[in-house]
Formats: sequence, C-alpha cells, structure tokens
Amino acid sequence: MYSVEAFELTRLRLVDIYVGVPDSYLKTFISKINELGLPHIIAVNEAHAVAIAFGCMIAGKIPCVYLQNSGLGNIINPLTSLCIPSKVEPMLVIGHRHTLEQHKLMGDIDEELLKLIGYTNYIFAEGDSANVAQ
Amino acid sequence: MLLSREDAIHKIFDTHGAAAIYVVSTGYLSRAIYSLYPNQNIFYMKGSMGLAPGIGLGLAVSCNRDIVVISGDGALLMHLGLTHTIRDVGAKNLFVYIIDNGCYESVGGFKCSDLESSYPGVTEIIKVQRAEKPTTRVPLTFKDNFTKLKELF
Repeated sequence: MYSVEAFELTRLRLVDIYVGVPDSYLKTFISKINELGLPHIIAVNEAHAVAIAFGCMIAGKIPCVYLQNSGLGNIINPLTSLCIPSKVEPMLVIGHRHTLEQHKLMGDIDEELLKLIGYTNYIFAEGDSANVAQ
Repeated sequence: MLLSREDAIHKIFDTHGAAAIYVVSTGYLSRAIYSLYPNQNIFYMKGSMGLAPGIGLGLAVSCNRDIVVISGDGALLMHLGLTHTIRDVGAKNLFVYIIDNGCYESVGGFKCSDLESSYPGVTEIIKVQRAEKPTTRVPLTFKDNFTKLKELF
C-alpha cells in the first residue's frame, strides 16, 4: 500500500503515539503525523523505537513504529527477546525498499524474516505514488 | 573510594522510593537489585541489552509516574544514541542511572571501554567496585515479571 494508506490504517487502529526512524518511502506518512501534531518521537536507531513503543504499550498506549526495511536487522533482538516472548507486539509500518542495489536482498527477504521469527503485526508501505513509479 | 554495587543501588532506591517504577538491565545488576528490593515495582529486562532506557522513555511519556532506569556501562555504550533521544524528549519523570563497574561482569569480567564523565539524558553515572557474583538469580519468570508490571497501569 502507499504510505498515505498506511497512515490512514494507523488512524483506524487508534494509534496514539508514533516512534520511528525516517524513510523516504514514508515521507507522506511522517508528514501527516507532523501536520496533525500527533505525539511523535524520532529515534536514532530502529531498536530504540521498538523499546520505546514497548514501554508505551505497557503503560496502555497504542504505539506505531515506522522504519525502512534496512532497519529490520536492528530490531531482530528486541523483537525476539522482548516483544514476542511478552506478546507485546507494536504495529510496524515498514518502507519496502527494493529497487536499488543495496536494498535488493533485504527487499526480497524482509517479509520472510518477520514470518521466520513469528512476528505478525506489520504492514509494508510501497512509498508514495511518485517514488513507486520511479 | 568507590561505592559498592549494593550501596549504589541503595542510593538510587532511597532517592526515588517505593512509588516509582524501576526498569533494570540484564546481568548481575538485576540479580543484586532483586536481592535487595524483591518487592518493589521492578521490570527486569533480561534480553535486549542496552534498551532499558528506551523502555523507560516509552513508559515515562505514557504515564505520570516516576520511571527510574538502572543500567550498566556496557549496556549504555551499546545503544548510546538513545541518550540523545531521551534528552530531546525531555521527560521530567524519567531518571537514568548507570552503574559503571568498567567491565562486562556477568559474561566473564572482560574490560569495557571507559565512559566519559557525563552524557545527555543520563541522570548520573555511579562508578562502583567490581563485586562478587550475586548468588540469587531473579526467580521470576519472564511472564510473571511482565504481568506484575502491567498490573501497575
């Protein structure tokens, strides 16, 4: 789905705080968060975003973690050691980069990686109509 | 004269009291804290080395209670960038303490890179002596510990 649709989905799911590391595929998604002035923490590493979201969920909030698929490597540890064992699994919105050489391999395996560890609460965003067309 | 690990823990709990919620890092630190304060509101973060301050930040922005994170020097360095996010958010109810023993104690006592004297987002670095291995493991299962924490909200 396009990133704007991903954003609408987070509104339907009553997300009340967004935490993530910016991605060009999610430019519209992140701009919407800022335009509406929604609670938003920009992290410097995707693993931090997952840990922050975990804390938010424990305290009763509904967080959304956004990241580029290249950040999946950074979140395997908190997903496998923290979120999955405790069944506190924040929604992930992941920019599905796959066209450039450095993104191709991860673009091929990103969803398989999440399936392998048994994480189910994610959606992939294909960017905005403009950059998907490129 | 450096404090003992136990004295450093007492200092933090004396400052923040029984009403605060504590998030403590993996390793011997959590064992030592359990042996001293078995009945406090504590989340023992067993995996995810270095991410306890992140969990603390998420809790702090989502409630009005005081959140106290106690972590180690190696764990701080593993995810040092978190200190900048904590500084940027500026939650007044979040306190991050680093117990600095200069080594990776529970995995063999190997030397850790030396810390600077302060970091943004870190309340205090408390240098402590190397200590004996605490004999008591934290007897809570992951599930029980987690359930206990959730019941606080």
